[in-house]
Amino acid sequence: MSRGSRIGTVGMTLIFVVLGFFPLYGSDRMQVTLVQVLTYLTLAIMWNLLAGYSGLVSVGQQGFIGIAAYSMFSMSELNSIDPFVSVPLSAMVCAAISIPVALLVFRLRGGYFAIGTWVVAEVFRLLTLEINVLGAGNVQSLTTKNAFSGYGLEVRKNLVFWSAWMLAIGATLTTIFVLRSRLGLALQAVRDDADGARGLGVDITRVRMIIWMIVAAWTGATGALIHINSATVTNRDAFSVASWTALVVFIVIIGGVGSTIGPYLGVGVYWIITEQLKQQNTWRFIVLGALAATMSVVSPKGIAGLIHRWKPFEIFPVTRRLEVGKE
Amino acid sequence: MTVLEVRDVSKTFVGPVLEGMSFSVENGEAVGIVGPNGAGKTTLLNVVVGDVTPDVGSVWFKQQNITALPSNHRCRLGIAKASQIPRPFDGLTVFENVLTAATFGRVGDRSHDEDVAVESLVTTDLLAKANSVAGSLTLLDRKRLELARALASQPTVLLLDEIAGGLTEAEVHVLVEKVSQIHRAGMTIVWIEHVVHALMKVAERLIAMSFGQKIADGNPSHVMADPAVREVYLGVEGE
Ligand SMILES: Nc1ncnc2c1ncn2[C@@H]1O[C@H](COP(=O)(O)OP(=O)(O)O)[C@@H](O)[C@H]1O
Ligand SMILES: [Mg+2]
Repeated sequence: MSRGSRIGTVGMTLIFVVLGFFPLYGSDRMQVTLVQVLTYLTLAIMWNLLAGYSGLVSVGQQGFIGIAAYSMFSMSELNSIDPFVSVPLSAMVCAAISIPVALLVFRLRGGYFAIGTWVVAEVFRLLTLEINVLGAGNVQSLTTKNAFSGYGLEVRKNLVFWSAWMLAIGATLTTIFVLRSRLGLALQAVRDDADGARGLGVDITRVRMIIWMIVAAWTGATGALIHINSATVTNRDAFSVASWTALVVFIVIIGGVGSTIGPYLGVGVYWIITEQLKQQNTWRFIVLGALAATMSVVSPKGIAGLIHRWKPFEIFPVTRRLEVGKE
Repeated sequence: MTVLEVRDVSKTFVGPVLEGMSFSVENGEAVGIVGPNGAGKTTLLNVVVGDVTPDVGSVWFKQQNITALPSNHRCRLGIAKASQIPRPFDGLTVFENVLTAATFGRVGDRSHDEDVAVESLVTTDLLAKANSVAGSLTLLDRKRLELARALASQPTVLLLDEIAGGLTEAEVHVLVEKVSQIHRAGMTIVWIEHVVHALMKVAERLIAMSFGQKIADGNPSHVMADPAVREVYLGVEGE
């Protein structure tokens, strides 16, 4: 590990540790923002793993957010499962549903794949409109009588924060673990040249399926938590392509697609802009979109690419370096 | 023992590219394939590795019909190809490129993956570039990497498609030495090459192709002296 990597890893660990105690010293307003930042960080890390490292440019990740929102709702409000327990359960639901989805969309290539994922997400949205127990499209609330029974407001708020914090840490560790494993090697080979990777023995459907399920699960867990936080499930918002895919794509492009550090840099920019524009979501969307468009022209590898040009080092050591001196 | 056999393969894209093509390779043999541009040589190797499905005919590896087997399985069985146009995994390093082949294309003890990868880099003189990003390589190094990746999968049969194309005379000389060395170590080789004098140094048998068909097969000097082959070649050189 290089010196830069070591400093980066220690720094990142410190930031997460300090963040973990935030509810004990931080302001309520800031805590609300941080939950947003951490959930977007998790979504960005996962989309980067999918599109940046595996070449699966999905624009249908909102489908898993929506499915998770409704699965969390039916578990915790309609049934007696603890809402925070429903988070990992919703992740599993998304992983399971992602299998038939993959069998369908993996037949498509490039732009058709992207459109396919979006269409599938839209189909799931329309399906939930037809299900009466899920409110048939009307706004559904998590109530203190059912889902939140036994939870005080303060406890709930802190549990949401720590869950978001754990999801972001988990997503970070998952990225490092996946990219350092055999799977990570295969994924990047498939991304760069799928036929070539197959010719060298890689089972491309299998490796794509594995990463697709991992990302669906984490996206689902995040989706469930987002809706526990908002305490409502609205059909249009839960399946919003703008909120759960476009904004995430902007963040990753600004930070750096296919760079482990990209999502963190991108979400940093997201944070600054959110702070500047307070709650004007439309303007935030426009500014981030414009920034992403500019970035894709100026530096296709985002801020991470600019930093790399200036000083090449990896904060997360995921490249397999051969120590030639040893041989 | 016959290790590889192509039986009566035909393939039509826009026009016919392979027409009733057959050939077989014995274990440990080095076979050269020559023929003018567009004769169907590359397509033939693509049929062998599974990148192209023949319209009719079959491919056999060690007495097993592999015609329906996908290319990743064929690689693991022991067939590897260095393509005419190298396409490395650009975002990975040179080492990671060969490690992919050693890890997924090779059946055996996983703890040897890195050693096998390193060995292939040593053979192809790429060790010094191990940590370079493959996308930044020169043409010569890309060709070396293409060969290194095929070697790292530790094949039984190594297929080479014009790996000397575009190299200088001195580079070709070094390459011929490498291929002979690999062959002497026991590797079965099928080598397509336009640079015939390079091929003649390694091949023990020569197959000549024209318009998707085999027009000669046998001792290299006999094949090159064959009137049909001379006509095809003189035709090319006369242009
Ligand atoms: N995938 C393909 N689609 C259409 N035509 C092809 C394809 N691959 C090869 N061909 C055609 O097949 C013929 C033989 O090509 P090839 O096998 O590359 O010949 P060679 O390697 O002997 O020069 C050429 O006319 C080429 O245009
Ligand atoms: Mg060719």
